[in-house]
Amino acid sequence: MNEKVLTPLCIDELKKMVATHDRVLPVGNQTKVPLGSVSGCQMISLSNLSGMLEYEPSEFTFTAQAGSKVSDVEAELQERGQYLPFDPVLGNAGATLGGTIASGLSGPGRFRFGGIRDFCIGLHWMDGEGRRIRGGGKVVKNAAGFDFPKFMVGSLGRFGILVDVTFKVFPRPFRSLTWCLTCSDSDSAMNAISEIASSRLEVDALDYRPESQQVAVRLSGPSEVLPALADELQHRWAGGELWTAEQAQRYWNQVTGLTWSGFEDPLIVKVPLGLSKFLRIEKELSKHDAFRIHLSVGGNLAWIAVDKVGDLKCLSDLLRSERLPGLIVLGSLNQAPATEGSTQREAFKIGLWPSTQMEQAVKKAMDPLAKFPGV
Amino acid sequence: MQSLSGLESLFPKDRLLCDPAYLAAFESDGLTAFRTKPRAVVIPETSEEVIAVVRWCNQHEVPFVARGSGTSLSGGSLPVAEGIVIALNRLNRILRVDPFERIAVVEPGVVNQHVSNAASPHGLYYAPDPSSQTICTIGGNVAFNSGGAHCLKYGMTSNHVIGCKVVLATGEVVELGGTSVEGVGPDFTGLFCGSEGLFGIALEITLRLLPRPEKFHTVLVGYRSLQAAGDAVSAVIDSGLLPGALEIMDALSIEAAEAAVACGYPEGAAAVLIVELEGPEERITFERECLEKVLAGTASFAQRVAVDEEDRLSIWRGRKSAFSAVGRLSPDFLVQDGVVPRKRLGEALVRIEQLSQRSGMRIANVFHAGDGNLHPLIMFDGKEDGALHRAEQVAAELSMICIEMGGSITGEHGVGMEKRDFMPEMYDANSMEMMARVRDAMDPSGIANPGKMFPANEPPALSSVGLHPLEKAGVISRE
Repeated sequence: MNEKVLTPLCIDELKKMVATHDRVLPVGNQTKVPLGSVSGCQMISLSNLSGMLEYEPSEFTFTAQAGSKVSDVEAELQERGQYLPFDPVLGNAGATLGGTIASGLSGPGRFRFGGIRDFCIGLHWMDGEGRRIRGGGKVVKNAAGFDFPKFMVGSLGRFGILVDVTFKVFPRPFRSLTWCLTCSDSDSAMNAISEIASSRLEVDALDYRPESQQVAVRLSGPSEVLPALADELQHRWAGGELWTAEQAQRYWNQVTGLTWSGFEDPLIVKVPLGLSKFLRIEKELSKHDAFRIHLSVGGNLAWIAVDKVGDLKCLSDLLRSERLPGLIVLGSLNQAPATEGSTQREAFKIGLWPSTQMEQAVKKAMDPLAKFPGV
Repeated sequence: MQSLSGLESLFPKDRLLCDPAYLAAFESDGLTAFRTKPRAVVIPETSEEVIAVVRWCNQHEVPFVARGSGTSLSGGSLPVAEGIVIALNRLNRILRVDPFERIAVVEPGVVNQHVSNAASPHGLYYAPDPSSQTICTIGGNVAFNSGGAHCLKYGMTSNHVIGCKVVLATGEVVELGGTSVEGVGPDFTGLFCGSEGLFGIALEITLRLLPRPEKFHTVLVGYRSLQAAGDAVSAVIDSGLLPGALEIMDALSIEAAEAAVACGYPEGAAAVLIVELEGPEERITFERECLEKVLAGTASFAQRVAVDEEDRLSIWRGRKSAFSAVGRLSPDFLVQDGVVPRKRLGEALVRIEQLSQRSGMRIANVFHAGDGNLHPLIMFDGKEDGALHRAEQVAAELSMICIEMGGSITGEHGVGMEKRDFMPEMYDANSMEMMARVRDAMDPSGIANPGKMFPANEPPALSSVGLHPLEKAGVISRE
């Protein structure tokens, strides 16, 4: 960990740190290094403010300190037969709950039941004035007040420091299996994804890699049921095969660990999109060896890996032409080619990030002292 | 009084209503206990007209209240005296159903059920299902983050809205989210959902569509006590099953439903539990066996399994008619919407019973047991002196019980004007102030749906009693 990062041991210490620095940036275990590339900020890590505060399996909820490691929480949930269905990203690398919320990252399991925005139901944060603010609650259903828990998803620490967070959880499926369909091209793969997503099968995850032209379909549920559902996949979409448990685990771990590209220390860019836009993006990027794509969440999310020699400006321009934003979550921005012509202040933002008066007004209202970086 | 000059040039006379006779139709919503006559009602037909009227209101600092079908149970679309009601029912176009991407883009006045109807040929549907779904609009669902019987598994409206084009109270038009379920940057779409119209008006809403479940397995189980039904809910949850719906009705609400729709619930039941599983046939066959084992271990005395879709709908008819049906037992009632942690449902019910005995008011109970969302129906006769006031006091105590137990004052109806005084009980001063700051940022003049969510000092609305005329006619019902 960077020695310049402060690591408070208690809330009072955190409060003092916020008060004594002009501008601060909350971080967790810094697993998404580019997002910390903001100049002129004192980084404060919540990594020591960790641990489960309340866990009621019968309520399908838990509350933990924001610095808790996702992997620790997942282990505790697993003991009680529960899980976070959205497959948190970079859990094995040490990602924290707070960092996962602030970066707004969800894995392939987001497809079936929703993403981190749908499972984070309450939180407390410290604002720039050192006050403890509550959003949402601790019950799975709550329509009282503004939905700050959702707002904080993807907020990149620009509005406050998450202190503790409450999540909804689900019963863990007994078993899962993965069936893989090799397609002739991306067009046919997108048709297959759309058909499978709309089918009766209620699949758990639905991802695609253009490089191998393989659509990976994960089914979860009771072991008595899954073979019949897999048979139907096999019957309706010829050319598929069942993966072994090891193959499947390796594949899905590569997705949540963002290690699937095979590049050495690539930049990894998150791009929310749809099937049609993916096809256009993929057509352009396939002309270059320096880009590799993993399409996740049934075609709603592209992870784009950029090799060291890759032209980031080319990618940014392409995204801009499709009116899409990109968020660089992994890799060294120092090695990245300059994003010439970009009007973005932050190097981890590429493509089109619309700026609105509304966002500036909300930022000013929630952080009048400008204690956190600008939006 | 603010002149309407300028507004008259934006709308023809038949879409700018100022005649008191017309305004009377808009003076109340689903919370019939309160009414306020607005200054005027405008009926835009396009997004451009909505933007124009909002900008006019902003320029002249005239408050406005957006309204769909007026089914809010929290007074969410109660007009503001001297304000404008913007009736959005004519913005009822389904702009796009895209089966390839599994999304629909709709205008705010589209009726909830119509989205599923339009998606149905593609095997898709829109999951959130408030009981009023045959009449309530998507714009209102978004404003109040409406729920329904299937929230446990699928979440509420905000879990299914992925983008909105919005005109803010300032007149700024912004695009929130997009056509992907994923996003980057702060989730403004999530913040907008459930903001109760305090930021502005949604002009276009992008919804995600899900494949329609292949098979439903719906079971109605009778119990001799509410406690036994509550224990059964815990047993189902602890078994690892994730039902689409888990509902309980008590004896009073069963009696009302029987009288209204002859739903054939088990005779002599102190409570019935409805459990619904849904999914692929193979999964339901397996889960059905699991559920049977779980229910066999509970203290049930009767059980009915829906044999076909018609039978399933008849089981649901009893549940979905319960609120309106209570009107047969009592000339007036208030419905509450608090949430308690599921494990404290039994304790909450005991306290409701104590409250009923102490106040002398009958309280029927219908609730989404799977997620601890209570709907106590407090019965009274508005013609009795002080009865409405006593009912409101009971409702207030119920809200406080939910807060004390670590729950919420509203699970799916929203705060509106009905529960706004309890917000400072649920949220501390700093958290309330932060919400007020965000409200001010979105709407510096405070013209968008004022008087909702935040405690206010304006003169109280007139109160009245009785079922909503549409409820009496059986057109709408309450969740």
